[in-house]
Amino acid sequence: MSSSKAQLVAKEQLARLAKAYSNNRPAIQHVLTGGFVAYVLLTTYQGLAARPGGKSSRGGKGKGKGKESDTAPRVAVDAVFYQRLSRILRIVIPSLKSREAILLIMHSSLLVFRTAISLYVASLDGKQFYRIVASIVRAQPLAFFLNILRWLLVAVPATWCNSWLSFVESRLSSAYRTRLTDEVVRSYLDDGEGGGKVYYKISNLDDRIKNPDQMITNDIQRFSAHLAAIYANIAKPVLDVILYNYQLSQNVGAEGLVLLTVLVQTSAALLRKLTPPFGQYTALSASLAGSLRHTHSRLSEHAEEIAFFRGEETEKMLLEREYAGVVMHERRVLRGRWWHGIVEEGIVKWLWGSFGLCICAIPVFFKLPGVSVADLGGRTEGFVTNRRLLLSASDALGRVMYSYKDLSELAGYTARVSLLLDTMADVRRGKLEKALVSSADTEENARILRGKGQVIESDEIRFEGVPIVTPNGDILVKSLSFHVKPGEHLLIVGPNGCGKSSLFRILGGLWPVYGGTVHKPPASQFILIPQRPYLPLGTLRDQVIYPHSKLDMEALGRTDEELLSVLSVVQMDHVVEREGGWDAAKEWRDALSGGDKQKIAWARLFYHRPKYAVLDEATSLVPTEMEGRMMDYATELGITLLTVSHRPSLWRYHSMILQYDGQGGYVFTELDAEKRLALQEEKQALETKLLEVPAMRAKLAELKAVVDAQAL
Amino acid sequence: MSEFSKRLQSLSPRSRTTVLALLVSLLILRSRLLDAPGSLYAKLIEATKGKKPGPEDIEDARQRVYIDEADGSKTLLVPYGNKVSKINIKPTPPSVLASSAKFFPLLSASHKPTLSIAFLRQLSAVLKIAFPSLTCRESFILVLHSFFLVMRTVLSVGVAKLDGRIVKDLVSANGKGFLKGLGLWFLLAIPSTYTNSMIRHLQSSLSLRMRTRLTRYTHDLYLSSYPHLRYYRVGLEGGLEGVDQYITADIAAFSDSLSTLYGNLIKPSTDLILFTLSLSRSLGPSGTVLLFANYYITASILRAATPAFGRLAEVERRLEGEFRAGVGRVGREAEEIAFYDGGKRELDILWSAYTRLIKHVNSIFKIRIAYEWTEDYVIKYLWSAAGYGLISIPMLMGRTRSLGVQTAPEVDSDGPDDAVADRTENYISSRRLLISLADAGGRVMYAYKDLLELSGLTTRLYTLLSTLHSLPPLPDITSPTDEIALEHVDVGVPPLSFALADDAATVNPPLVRDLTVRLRPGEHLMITGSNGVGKTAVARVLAGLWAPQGGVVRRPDEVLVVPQRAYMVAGSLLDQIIYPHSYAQFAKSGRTEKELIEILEAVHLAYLPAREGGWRTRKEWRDVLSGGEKQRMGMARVFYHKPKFAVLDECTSAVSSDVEGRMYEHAKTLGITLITISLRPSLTRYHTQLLTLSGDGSGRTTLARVGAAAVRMGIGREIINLEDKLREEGSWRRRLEELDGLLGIQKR
Repeated sequence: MSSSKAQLVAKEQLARLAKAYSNNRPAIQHVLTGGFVAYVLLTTYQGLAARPGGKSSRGGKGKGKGKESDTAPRVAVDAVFYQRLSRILRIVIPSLKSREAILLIMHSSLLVFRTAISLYVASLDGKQFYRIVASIVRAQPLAFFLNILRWLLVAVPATWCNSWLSFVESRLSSAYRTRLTDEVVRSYLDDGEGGGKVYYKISNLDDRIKNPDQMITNDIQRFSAHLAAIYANIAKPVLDVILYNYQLSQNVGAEGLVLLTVLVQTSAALLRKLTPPFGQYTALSASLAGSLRHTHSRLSEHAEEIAFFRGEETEKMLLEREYAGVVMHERRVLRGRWWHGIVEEGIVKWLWGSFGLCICAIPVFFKLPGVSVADLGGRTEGFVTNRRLLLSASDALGRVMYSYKDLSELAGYTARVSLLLDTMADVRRGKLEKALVSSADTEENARILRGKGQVIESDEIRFEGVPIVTPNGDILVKSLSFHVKPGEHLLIVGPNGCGKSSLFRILGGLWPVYGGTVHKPPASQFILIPQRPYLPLGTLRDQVIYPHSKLDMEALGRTDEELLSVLSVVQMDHVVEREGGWDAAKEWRDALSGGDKQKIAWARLFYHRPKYAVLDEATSLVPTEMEGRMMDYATELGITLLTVSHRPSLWRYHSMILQYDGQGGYVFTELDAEKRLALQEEKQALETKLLEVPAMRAKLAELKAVVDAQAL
Repeated sequence: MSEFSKRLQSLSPRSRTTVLALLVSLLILRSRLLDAPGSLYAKLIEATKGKKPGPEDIEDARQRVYIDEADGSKTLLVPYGNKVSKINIKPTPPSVLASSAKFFPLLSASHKPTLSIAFLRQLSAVLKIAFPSLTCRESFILVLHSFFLVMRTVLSVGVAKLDGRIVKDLVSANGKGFLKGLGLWFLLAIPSTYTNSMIRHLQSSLSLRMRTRLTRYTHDLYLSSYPHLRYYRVGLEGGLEGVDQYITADIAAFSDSLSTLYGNLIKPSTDLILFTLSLSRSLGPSGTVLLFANYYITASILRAATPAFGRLAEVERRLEGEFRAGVGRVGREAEEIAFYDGGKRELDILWSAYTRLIKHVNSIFKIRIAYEWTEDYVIKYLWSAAGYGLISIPMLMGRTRSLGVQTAPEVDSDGPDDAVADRTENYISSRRLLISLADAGGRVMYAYKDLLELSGLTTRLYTLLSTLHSLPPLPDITSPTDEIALEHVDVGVPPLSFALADDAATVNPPLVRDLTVRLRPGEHLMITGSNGVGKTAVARVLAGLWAPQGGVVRRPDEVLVVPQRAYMVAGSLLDQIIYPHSYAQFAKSGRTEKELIEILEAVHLAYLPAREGGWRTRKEWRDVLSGGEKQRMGMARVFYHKPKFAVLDECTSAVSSDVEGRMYEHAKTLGITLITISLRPSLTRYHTQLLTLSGDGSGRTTLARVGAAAVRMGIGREIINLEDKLREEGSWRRRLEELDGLLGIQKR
C-alpha cells in the first residue's frame, strides 16, 4: 500500500523531473552545445600547446654549452618549437598587409566556406535522398532528374571551393618558400656587417651544419609545404568537428552528442594508452638512417684511400652492420604498428561506426520531447543526413588526432630551418662551434686558442706574431711575422699542410686571427688564383669579369675590346671566337682545359688590377714561357704577388721568401734566386755524395780485407 | 556438424556469409593467437636463462663487428637497444653477380624515364634481384599480400550489404533487426580489421625485404674487392656521382614505391571488378553496360582535361636541379668565392635560378585549378549522379520486375512504407558500393602518378646497377714474384667506361709515358716531380686502381699504399692501426696489444691510448687527431702489416724531419721496400733510386741511381781514393750544415 504510494510519488517526481527537463530543454541544449564547443577548443589547445617540463629547459641549457652534438637534439612539440615557429613566421609573414597574410585570409575564408557547403550538402543529401527514393517509388522520372540536376549544381561550388583551396595552399607554400629562401640566401651570400662570407664560414669554421645546400633547398621547401598544410590540417578538422557536431545535436539532441563525445573520448584515451611511442621510433629511425647515410658518404668521399688500403671488406661489414641496425629497428616498428593498427581500426572505424548507428537510432526508437514524431520518409531523411554528418565528424575527429603527427613533423623541419637561421646569425656574429683536435687541450695550445688578434687596415701587408691555427685547433705555426711592401713579390714555400693556404685564408679574412696583429688592405684589394680556378655559371664575359656583372662592367666604362686585349695577354683571345662570342653560356668547368682555366683566372686578375694577388700554384698547368709573360705583365700593372709554387723557374720573379719547415718553424728573408738555386744544387750534390759514404765504407772494408788476404 | 550446417542453413544468406567470414578469420587468427603466447614464452625463457648482456658485452660486440662462420658467411653482431642481435650475412656469390650482369646493359645518355617497354625491362631486371626465386620468402609474402587484398574487397562488399540491412531495420523501426545487425557489424569487424592491418603489415614487410635484398646485392656489387674495386671506379670511370644517395635513399624509395604501387593497383582493380559485379547483379545487364559507358566517358573527359603534367614536372625538376646545383656550387667552391668576394654575384645568379623555378611552379598551380576541379567533379559527383541514374533505371522503367533485391515474406503486409524501406536498403548498399567505386576509380587514376614516380626511381636504380656492372675488371697485375716491374707503362686518367666502346678519341692523354722501373726488395725508390705531373697517378697504377694504358705491370700481392690524405676508419683506436684488417682478423692473427704499443712507439704515438682513454675508445678520429698524428697513424699501419713494398704518397709532410727519418729507418729494418712520393729532397737519402717526372707536359721520366756507380780501378788506387773521399766526409757534412743554414736563413 505504502510502497505503491511511494511508487506513485516516485513516478510523479520522475514525471515532474521529465517535464521540467523537457520544459528547460532548449536551455539545457544550449548549455550542452556550448560546453561541447568549449571542450573541443580546449582539448585542441591543450593538445597543441607547449608542454612545460624539464625537456624544454634542458634543451635551452644544452645550447649554451655548445657541446650537444653527441646527443641528438630532441625534437618535440614544446615551448621551444613555438618560439622557433613564431620567429620564422615573422619572416614569412612580415606584416598583416603582406601577400602572405592576404593569402592566409583567403585560405581561411575558403575553409569556412567549404565547411558551410559540406553542411548544406549533407542536409540536402538527406532531403534529396528521400525525394529521389520517393520519386522512384512514385515513378516520376522528371522529378528524379530535376533532383539529380540540383545535386550536380550544388557540386559546382563545392568542387570549385576544393580546387581553389588547394591552389591557395600551394601558393601559400611557394610564397613562404620565397620569403624564407630570400632571407636565408641573402644572409648566406650577402656581405653585411661582421664580414659576411657566411657561405664559407658555415661549412669550414663551424660544425653545426653539415650540408647547408640541402637545408637551403630541400628543408626550406619541405618546411614551407608543411607550414602551409598544417593550418588547413588543424583548422579544418577542428572547424568540422564543431560544426558537424553542432548540426548533429540539432537533429538528435545534445544529450546523445554528449554521450557520444564521452564514449569517443574514452576510447580515444584508451587508444592513446595503447599507442607505442611512435615519435621516438621515428626519431630513432631517422638517426639510424642518417648514420647509414653518413657511413656511405664517408665511403664515397674516401673511396681512393680505401681502395689504396684494400679496406673494402672491413668497410662492407661496417656498412652491413649499420644497415642491419636499420632493418632491425624497422621490424620492431612494424610489429608495433601491426597491433596498433588493429586496435586503432577497431576503435576508430568499427566502434565509432556503431556509436554513430546508435546515435542515429535515437530519434527512431526513442521519442525525443520537442521533436515531432517523424514518419518513414522523415526518418529516412533524418537518418541519411545524420549518417553523413557523423561520418564527416568522425573523419574530422580522426584527422584532429592525426594532426599531431603533422605537427611533430613540422617541428622537425622547424628545428632544422631555425638551426640554419641561428647558425648563420651566430657565424655572422663570429660565434663559431667546431670540434677541436685533442692536442688543443694542452696548456700552451689552449692559451693560443683563447687569444684574439687585431686586424688593422693598411696599405701594406704585415704580420706581427700571428699564430696560424686551423679551424679545428691544430696549431701550425705558433707565431708568424713577415711583411710585404708594394712591389716586393713574396714567394712562399714549404711542405703540404703546413700553413701556406692558411696564411691566405687569414689574409682574405676567412679565418679568425688568434693573436698578434695583422695589417692588411681591405679584402677587395686581393685576388686569389687557386690551382683549380672557380668558374661561375654564366657567359664567357662573366668568367673574365667575375665577381663583377655585366652591369658593373658597363658602369665602370669598360668594354669588350678591353676584355679581348686582356685575354690576348694570356693568349686566350681565340676562345671568344671558338666558344661563340662573349655571351655564350655553358658549363665552363667542363668546356675549358686545366691550363685554360688558369689562364682565364689570370685574365681576371689583369681585368681587376688589385693591389695584391695571391697565387696558389696558379701556373702549374701553364707553359713556362707563358708563366713568365704573365708574371711580368702583373708586375707592369703594379700588382704585388704572393706566390706559392714548387717550380724553381718562378723564383727569379720574387724578392722575398717565406719558408715553412713543416714543423711549426719558418724563415722569412730576402730571396736571391740565383744564389739560392746554386746553393740548392750544391746541397743536393753533397747529399748524394754523403749517401755514398756508407757504401764506400763497406767497399773500403771489403777491399782492405782482400788486400789483407793477399798479404797473408 | 549436421546441426551446425542446419543452423547455417537457417540463417539468411547474408548472415551466412558473415558467419563464414568470421570462421575464416578465426582460422587465420588462430596462428597469431597461438603463436603470441608461444613466442612470449620463448622470450621469457631466453630472458631468464641467458645472461643479460651488460654494457661490456655491447662494447665487445661493437669492437668485434662480426664473427666468421665455418661456411664462409659472416655473422654480424648488431647492438640494438641494450641487446646484441646476431644476423647472418651470406655474400652474393660472384657467379650470381656475373650472371646477372647481362640483364643490365647500359642506358643511353638520352634515356628519359617513361612508361614504355624499356621501363618494363628495367623493372624486370631489378625485380630479378628482389625476387631471386619463386619459392623465396618475398614471393610468399607477395602471394599472402594479394590474398588479403582480394579478401578486403570481398569484405567491403559484405559491409556494404550489412550497412543496407541495418539502415532498413532502422528506417522501418525494427528494433530487434537493428540489434542483430549491430551484432553482425561487430562480428564483421574482426576479419576486416585483421585484413586491413595485415595488408599494411605485409606491404611494409615486403618493402623492407625487397630493400634488404637490393641493398645486400648492391653492397656486394659496390664494395667488390680487386680486380673490380667498383666503389672507387664508379665515380671516375662510371661517371656516377652521389652513390650514397642511390644506395640509401633511392633503394628505400624504390622498395616503398613498388610495394605501395602493388597495393594501390591491385586493390582498386579488384574493387572495380567485384563492385561492378555486385552492382550489376542489382542493375541488370543494361545497367551494367551503362556503367561501363560511364567509365569510358569519365575517363575520356579526364584525359582531355589533363594537362601535360609529365612535361611540366620534368621542367620543374630541371629548374629545381639547377637551383640546387647553384647552391651546392657555392658550398663546394666557398673558398674561391670568398677570396673573390663574389657573394653578391652568386646571390644574383642563385636568385635568378630561384625566380625561374618559382615562376614555373606557380604557373603549374594555376593550371592545376581547372584540372582538379574537373577531376573532383567528375569522380565525386558525376559518378554518383550516374550511379543514382543507374540504380533508378530498373525501378523507374522495369515496373514489372519485383522490387529490390529480395523481399522478406513479412513485407507484403504494409504497402508503400515497406517498399520504401526495401528500396532504402537496396539504395544504401548500392550507394556504398558506388562511393567505393568512385574511390577505386580515383585510386586507379592516382596509381598512374605512382607508376610514373616508380619509373623514375627504377631508372635511377637501374642506372646505378648497370653502371656498376658495366665496369670491366681491372687487369690482374699481381703475380707471385718478389719484385715490382713496370715495363713501358703509360699512365693516364682512365676513360669513362661507356665511352670506351664508342670511340678511342676520348682516351685521355697519358700523364707519364713509357715508364720502365724494376724494383727488387731492398731497392728503395723515390718518385718526385712538381704538382700535377702524375706522381699519385703512378701510385694508383702500382696499387692497381688504374689500369695502365700500355705496357706491363707486375707486382707481388703484398703492397700497401699509404695515401696522401690520411683516412681514419669509423671505429676504435685499435681499428685505426690494424686497418684495413678487421678486429676478427686481428684476433685470428694472434697479435697482441703489446705489439701495437711497440708500433705506436715507433711512430712516436705511444701516448695516444692513454690520452684518448684506451684501445677501445670510439671517436671521430678524423677530427680528434691532428694532421701530423694522422700521418703517423698511416705509418703505424705500414709497421703493423709489414708488407713487402710500401708506397708512401706524400704521407709524412706534416711530420718533423727527425721523426720522419726514424720512421723511414724503422721501415727499412722491418724489411719493407719503400716507394716514396715526395717533394722533399731530404728524403732522397733513404732511397737507392730516384724517378723524376718532368713537369713540361711531355710525360718523360728520368730514372737515376742515388749514388754513382763505383769506378773500376786497381785495388790499391781504389783504397787510397776511397780513404781520401772518406776523409772529406767531415767537411761535406759541415758544408751541408752551412748550406742548410744559408738556404734557411739567407743573410740580410
